This record gives sequence, C-alpha cells and structure tokens, in this order.
Amino acid sequence: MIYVTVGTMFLDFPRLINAVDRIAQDTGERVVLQKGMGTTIPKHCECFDFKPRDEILALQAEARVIVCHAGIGSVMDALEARRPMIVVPRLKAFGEHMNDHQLDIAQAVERRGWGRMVRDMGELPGACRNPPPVPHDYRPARHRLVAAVREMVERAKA
Amino acid sequence: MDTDIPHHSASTAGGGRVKVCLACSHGGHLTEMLQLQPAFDDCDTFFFCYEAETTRALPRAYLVPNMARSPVEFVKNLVRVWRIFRHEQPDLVVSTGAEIALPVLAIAKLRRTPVVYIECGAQVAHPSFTGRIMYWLADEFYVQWHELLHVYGRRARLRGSLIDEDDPVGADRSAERRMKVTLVHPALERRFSSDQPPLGLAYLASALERHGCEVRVIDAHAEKLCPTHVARLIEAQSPDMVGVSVTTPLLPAALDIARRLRAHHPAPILVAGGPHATVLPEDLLVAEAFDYVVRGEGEQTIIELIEARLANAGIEAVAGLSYRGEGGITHNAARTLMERIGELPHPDWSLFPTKQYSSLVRRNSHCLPIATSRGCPFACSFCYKGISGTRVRLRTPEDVVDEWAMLVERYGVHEIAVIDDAFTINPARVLKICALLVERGLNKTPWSTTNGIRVDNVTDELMVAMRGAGCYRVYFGIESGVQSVVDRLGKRITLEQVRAAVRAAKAAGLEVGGYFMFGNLGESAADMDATIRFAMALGIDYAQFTIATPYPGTRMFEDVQAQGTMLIHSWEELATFGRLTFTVGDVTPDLVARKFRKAIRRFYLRPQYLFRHVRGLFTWEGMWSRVSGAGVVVRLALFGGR
Repeated sequence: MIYVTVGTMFLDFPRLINAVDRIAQDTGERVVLQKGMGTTIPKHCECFDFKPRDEILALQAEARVIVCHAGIGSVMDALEARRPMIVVPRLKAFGEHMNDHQLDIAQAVERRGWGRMVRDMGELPGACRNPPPVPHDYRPARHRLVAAVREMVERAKA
Repeated sequence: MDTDIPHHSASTAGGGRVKVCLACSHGGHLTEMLQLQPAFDDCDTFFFCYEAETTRALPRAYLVPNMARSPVEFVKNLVRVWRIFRHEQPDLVVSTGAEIALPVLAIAKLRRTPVVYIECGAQVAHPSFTGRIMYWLADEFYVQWHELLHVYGRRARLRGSLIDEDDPVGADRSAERRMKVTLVHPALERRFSSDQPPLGLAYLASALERHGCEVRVIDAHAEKLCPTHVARLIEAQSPDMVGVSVTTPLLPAALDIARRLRAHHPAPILVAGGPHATVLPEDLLVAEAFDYVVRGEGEQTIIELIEARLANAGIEAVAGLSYRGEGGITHNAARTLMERIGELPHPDWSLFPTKQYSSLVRRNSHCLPIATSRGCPFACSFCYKGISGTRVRLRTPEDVVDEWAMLVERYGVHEIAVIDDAFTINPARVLKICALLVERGLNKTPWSTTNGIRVDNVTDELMVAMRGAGCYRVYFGIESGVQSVVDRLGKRITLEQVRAAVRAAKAAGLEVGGYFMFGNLGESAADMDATIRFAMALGIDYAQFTIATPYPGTRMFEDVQAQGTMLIHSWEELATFGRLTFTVGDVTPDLVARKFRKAIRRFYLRPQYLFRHVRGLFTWEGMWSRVSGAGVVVRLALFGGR
C-alpha cells in the first residue's frame, strides 16, 4: 500500500494527486490518499480529507512507502513511522504554496539520507517501485532542545 | 472574543514555581510547542494562541482571533497581552512562532520578561518574517537546522532540534565522501613557552589526507590565537569534524573552543585526543563539549570513526574511542599499538605555520621535528606512556632518511630535532641512519636530540657517527646529581654512566646539554645543591633545569596524590613553568624556586661559562642566539619562571 498525504494546507496539490492516481490505475496497488482541503478528486485512490491522528499513524505503519508533501509535520511523521519516504515539495510556481520553503525541507531530507525528493512527477512511479532506504537510526536532537529551554526556565527561576 | 481572564488562573505563581507564557499559532507551531512540554514539567504555564479547532482543548489558554491580515487585530492583541501579563505575571516567554509572538514580544520587552524564540522547524534555509524580528529582540534565539545558522548571524544558536539529528554530517556529505577536518592545537598563555611543532597533529593530518579528507590545521599556540579567534576561523572553514589536541594544561582552552563551536556553529563533530584526553576522557566529554575522545595513538581510530559516521554505522567497534551517549559515557576497548609505524605517511608540515616555531633548546629557528621510533621500555616516574606505550617500534633507517630528506628539500629546514623517546635504544640502527645521512649528503643540515637520549648506551663510535652525520648537540636526560634520587625516578642509569657519556660526546666534538629536574620526591635541599654542583662539574655546555610536574597518568602524579598535596586549582596551572605545583614533605614550592634560581645563576653566570660564549658572538646568528639566551637566563635567575 502507498500512503499519500498533502497535509493541512488550504491550497490544492493537483500535480501530486493526479500522479498518484495514475500510479493506482497503472499498477493496481492500493493507494490511500489524505487529500486535505484541495478540490482535486482522484478516481483510483481511497481518499479522505482528514482523519484522527491515531488512524493516520496506523495507516502509515501499514504503508509500503509514504509519499508526502514536504511539510515539516508530514516529514516528521514519516520519519517516526520508519517507512520509506518520498517527498514532493509544493512549489510556488504551480500555486501549491505561497513560497518555496518546502523545497528547502525536501533538500534537507535528501541530503541527510532520510528519503528521496521528487520534483518531476514523471519520476514518481519509478521512485515508488524502488523506494529509498529507511535510515536505520533516526534520532532527532529533541532532548537537547528541551534541555536548552529547560536551562532558560532554570535561569528565570533564579 | 475569548480573552477574558479564565477564573481558575487567578492565583499567580507561588511557591517558587516559574510561570511561563507559551505563545504560538495553531498547527505546526503548536505541535512543536507541545513537544517541548517536558521542559516545563514543574512550571505553571499558559498558552497564548489563535482561536482554532486544535487550540480549544488546551488546558490553560488565552485564545485570540487570527491577526495575520489585520493590523487592527494586532493593536487589539497588544492590549490583550498587556492585560494578560499584568494578571499572570509570567517569568518567561517561550514562542515557537509565528507572528502571534510579535505582540507578546512587545509587551514582554516593556515588562523586561525574558523571551526565548525557537524558529519553526519548517524554516530550513530561509528565515521567517517573525524570525527576522525575533532575531534582534528575543533574549535567546534558536534555530533547528544548521543550514539556517549561516543565514541568521551570531545571535542565532543551534541547541538541538525537534526534527534534525545531532549533526547532519554523515548524511550531508555522504555524496562526496570527502570529509572536511580541522585540527587544532590550542594556545597556552604562559611565559617562556617554546613552541614545539605538534608532530602528533602532523601525523594525524597526513593520515587523514591519505584517507581522502580535506584537512586544515590551526596551531593557535604558535600563532597566538585565543579561543574566540579559533572558533571564528573554524566557523569560516565550516569543517565536518574538528580534532583538538589536549595536553593537561590545554584542557581549559580545549573545552572553551569546543563550547564555542557547539554554540555558534553548524556544530561539527568534535573530537579530542592527546595525553590528557587519553588519561581522563571524562574531562572532555562533559556536557556541551566534545562528542568523541580518541585515546592513545589516533591515526587509525579517527579514520575508523569517520568511516563509521559516513556509513551511518555504529561506532561500538571502533577501538580506542570514548563517547557520550544517551546513557552516559562509553569507553570502547583500547586500541593496540600500531606495529608498522613505518607505513604511516610522513607528516605534512605544509599545513602548519612552520616559521612560527621557536625553542630555547635549538640553534636555528626554522626547525622541524622527526620521530624515528615510538615508545620507550623504561618507566621514568615523570613520563606519560599512555600514547606511545612501553613497546618500542622502530622505523627503518631508509624510511627515516626519506623523511629527513623531505624536511630538508621540501620544507627547507635549517635544523632538525630528533624527538624520539628512545632514539638510541638500538645503536646499530642509529649508526645505519647516520651512514645513510652521509651517503645522501644530508649531513650538512644540523640536528640535535632535543628530547634527550639515554646515557647508558652511548659509545665513542655512536657519538662520532652522529657528529659526522650532522648532529651538533646531544641532550642527555640526567635529572639529578644524586644517585638515590635518580634511582627513585626509575631512570635506571648511574652517575658514572652520565660522566662517561658526556666525555664521549665532548670527545666527538658535540655540544652537550643536560636535563635536570628539581622537586623530585624525597629530594632534600642538600640533594638539589648536589645536582647543581654535579651539573657544573660535568663540563656540559647547556643545562636545562626544570621543575618536576606531575602530569595525570604518570607514576609521579600517583605518588604526589598519595604522599603530598597538589597546590593547583586548575589543570592550566600545571604549566606554571618555574614553580612547583605540589608539596611533599620538605619539598616545597619556595625551596624549589630558590634552588632553581640558584642553579641558573651558578651554572650560566660563572666566569668560565660566560667567557666561553664570548667566542660565539662573532656571527650574526650566534650573536642573536646568545643575546636572547642571556635575556632568558637573567629573567630566570631573577624571577624564576613566573
């Protein structure tokens, strides 16, 4: 199963939705799409707008590969799910976002070996067929940031 | 809207609990704030958020309408925040963005409440609108990606991240596999320090270069750079890894550099090595300092560490490595001594400021060291053996002379310093080296044995051969003029051997220098006087008087710990040249300082000695070295080393 998510963004992402719809049609593989607030409706995918978080996590855990827009929340979820990740950045040029910050995120994902960035939808079927490896130990430096904030709390106490 | 004060919040922070205002928009900013909750475990907190589906369930929250496109709402929010702050009296504001933080910032500034701003994880390489303002006004400004540190400036810090890993190097550079490494020799502030070229770092540099790394070196000691300056240089180089060489007196400087790099930088992998790191790795692995310590000989260990990082593999199998993990400090198994040291690439001095080095124990300033062997089988109490070990590993004469030729031809040195611990342990090998030096015409470049050679295997043949091969001066490690003191040090030499060695060296036409040490355990004032008399009677040309220094990892250190008292408060003070750093029985700093000054006076300021050196005044170089040497003698005789 391929799980696809375009996040909570209010702008549509027809490039990605149409591309995964074609993959579902061509390969017959089950594709589950969280399509959010967009108006593009796929014909061959299981599709929903939003679901409670625990259901989303269950779907991700079940997926063979996760295809997501390069929103930071979606990227974190895919990393935590420890599933192969393909990130497709929303681009300003296509009216998919107000700026190109998702390109930075997608590039960071690729540089760190967390997943693969796809910008050309022609590459998406191939990327889904041969998904990128899952980094074998992803350990975000979360505890360090918490400790840094904690230090400020301690200082405020003094 | 819903800005009325929630009635259950009426009690303000009491009982020493910190009250924190958490300001963030709904969506991703809120998600990040919620992940920071463990930091506020024992605090009173309240949220300041936009009215939305996700914020309604928050336990204590002031919810306001979205003001993203309405300046009127912004002004209204200023008033709301003013009221809220007057009521809640928060001690701290933490915000993860976005623009909802701006009215909070304004009021917090007026009330002098500290503000911590954490740039949203979605900002990887470009600053956000709010971030640009917060950068200048927040008390603490954190980003979550190292890419963004450069884009902001010095006020921005990377102190962990909700998304990114500790350092992204392994994945970041894996495409090119060419790791950028900067090696640092920290600076020590003290008088009379001679700047020995750091041979260990030079070996490391060549080993890394051969492995395909891009290596740079900062010799802060030779170039007199403070830690701030070093950190700035490294920031400009943006290496993936920084290796710092740490002897005991350099510990504070090394930690200072590491902490600066961690705070102001896309934190490189921080690795410490050297004697102190080997004996006490825990000192370097304290929080916010080094990531790894390489214990013992470092060449192979650091390469395996780099390989493991590039392959994103575990480091448990890298021998000689200590590191800080989630559960504390781990020490991997010790690395066995490298057998075939001849296979190491010759040190690359092109990376070092070779013209900056100076020394009191050499004739020419442009001088580089060579080590023809590693290790020493003897167990002198003052000597630290943790790096090179007690098993001697000898390089072949051919290999040694190849490096010698490189120093002369490629680096144009005017002098070479042989700094082995046990150069003459195998006299036959030294004879072969000398023969090769003559054969290849390298005997015109003067050299000396600045680390001191042993007196017990000195022969006339050896001294003559060394003289013929260009050696102009030998130093002997003598330490004391009292046999029982020498014995306690574990030198395993006799005073008679000392006299014989000096005679042989003088007969061969060599200048002779002797190393002596004051402050040895069990040494009396009379013993020290005997040492001075012995030094003068030997007929040697130079006497280097030193004061016993108990470095961690040596037997002397253990003895002092067991029988005496250390008088220093920080390791840096161990390098207080000219002053004893401990007291044991009758051996006190004052006594040793007195005898030290007396030794300098008696030895160097006697008429025969001064007269002998008048002859040296007839060349420019000789004149300069004698004038500067005289300055040193006078200062030492008057003030000791302080």
